[in-house]
Amino acid sequence: MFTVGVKFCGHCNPQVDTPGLLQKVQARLPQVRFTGWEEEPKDALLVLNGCPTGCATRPEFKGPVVVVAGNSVDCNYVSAGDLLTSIVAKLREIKNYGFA
Amino acid sequence: MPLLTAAAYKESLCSLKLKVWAAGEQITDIVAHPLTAPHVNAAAVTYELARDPAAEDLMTVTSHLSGKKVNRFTHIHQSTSDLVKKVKMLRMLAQRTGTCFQRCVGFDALNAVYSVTYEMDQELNTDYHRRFCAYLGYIQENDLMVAGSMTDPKGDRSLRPHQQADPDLYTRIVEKRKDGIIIRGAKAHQTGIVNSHELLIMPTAALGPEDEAYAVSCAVPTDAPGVIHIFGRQTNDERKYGVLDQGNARYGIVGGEALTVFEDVFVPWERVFMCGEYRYAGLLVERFASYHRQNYGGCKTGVADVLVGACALLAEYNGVPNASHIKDKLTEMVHLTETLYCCSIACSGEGYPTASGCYFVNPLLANVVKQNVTRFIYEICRLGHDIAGGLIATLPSEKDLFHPEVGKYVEKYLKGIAAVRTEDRIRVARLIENMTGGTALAESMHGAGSPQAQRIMILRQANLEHKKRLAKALSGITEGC
Repeated sequence: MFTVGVKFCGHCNPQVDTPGLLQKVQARLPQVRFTGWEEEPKDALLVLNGCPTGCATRPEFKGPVVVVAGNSVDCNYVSAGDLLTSIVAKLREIKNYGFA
Repeated sequence: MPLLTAAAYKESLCSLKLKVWAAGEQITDIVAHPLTAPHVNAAAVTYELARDPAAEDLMTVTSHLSGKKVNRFTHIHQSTSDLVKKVKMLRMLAQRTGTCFQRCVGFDALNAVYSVTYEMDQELNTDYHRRFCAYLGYIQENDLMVAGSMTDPKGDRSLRPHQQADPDLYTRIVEKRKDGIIIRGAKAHQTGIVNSHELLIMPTAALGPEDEAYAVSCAVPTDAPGVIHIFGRQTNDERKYGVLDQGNARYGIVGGEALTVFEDVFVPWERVFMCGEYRYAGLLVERFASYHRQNYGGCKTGVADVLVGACALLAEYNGVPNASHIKDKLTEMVHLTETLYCCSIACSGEGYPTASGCYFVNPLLANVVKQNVTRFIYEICRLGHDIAGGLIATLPSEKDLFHPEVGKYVEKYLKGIAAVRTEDRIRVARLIENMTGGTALAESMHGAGSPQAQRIMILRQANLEHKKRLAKALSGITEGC
């Protein structure tokens, strides 16, 4: 099964509820297994930061990585309403094509 | 060519064909005219110190475009370290000038337009970022001073741009031609505009589809045909025709702001960076405003450093440097100053990269910086007035101090401690008076946006729902969790 490791920032002053966001991502991608970032092997890494500062330490990982930081995905600003769709689209591209 | 000398900067202003009006007259020599000269001098310090080995680590940086050493005011932030150094540079410059040196507005405009044009091109397949990089290269190569031009006059604040009785109250595109666009309108409160080489226009607010004509960003030389500058009055500006009563005669107070009018100004396409893409207007405003609000814990702390020094000096001249209430007030002034600085350093350290690679400040913390400035600078100035005493409100003029008949009385009766000249006591009192009153205070309130603009941004990013969940969890409320 396609596996995505997930790393959170710690949420000291979050603008986005990233644990809640992950639940919604999981619901939209039932064919994907989401697990802790330390688990091996994994096919992709999802780093979820609650605010744009994006201070979560990036684990060493050679595969594709998606970084959410507040209302941005891989440094591209997306509106709050489009955040979920944007993350799901990125993960689908990685699953289908190996990259986003 | 990068890194002009201060003298070369002033010479370059003399060669511009600026149309500047002040006090009912057209000014032809910006560099020498008493109303504008102090602001030219303050901006010239940004050139002078870039060539000073003691300051170059803050003032200069390697361009990511050319690999050459450039003035930091023309640089695109490549790291959080760049953002932090910006704040340190602003504080240091304000310590040297005691006032606004104006060049940060264009600096912020360059960074905001750089990042937003990149994102526009990615989504819309436009060509704005390439054009902008070419323009940026020209600015860096020639070490030009750019004025950031955002604030429209706005007319009736309850109406959108297209709803205004006079459509020119927001700067707009009136014609698109094969070779460029024609713009009409005005920008208000233009810091340093009369001694800048270029102005970089941005929209003033988030816009909707009906306001497409107002979604314009472009670069215009300050002396382009159709550009007219009407210089603003300042509190006590007639003192600029003297010396001592100005307080800070060499550099003046605030930034020498003007109302700049665009009377059907032609802009070639190579200098157009947004033309109708209204959906990006709000993002550009947010980027620029956040960068600019970051600055205030840098420049205002430098200005406050001078003010604290002036108050300590006047207390000394009055013979009360060791009075406990004076020490306590000075301590409070320093505490407030460093609190402002903390905020600017924090929003810089918490900065992050945008898609273009240009680093952006943490916008929540940047808005907190400026919100604090609207309060703390007033309190710092209030404490300054308290320490300085009524002297700063009632001092006779410099003409009386140097008058052959009454000068001896001013000299005799305004003496402080015996070891200090009366003139020096008056000089430092005048410095405090001019740094803490009228225009200088209002600038702390409204520069980089009025307090309500910051409060809107702060609340938008505060995530009240998260805070409510925290409170529910600790108070044992399970309903709705």
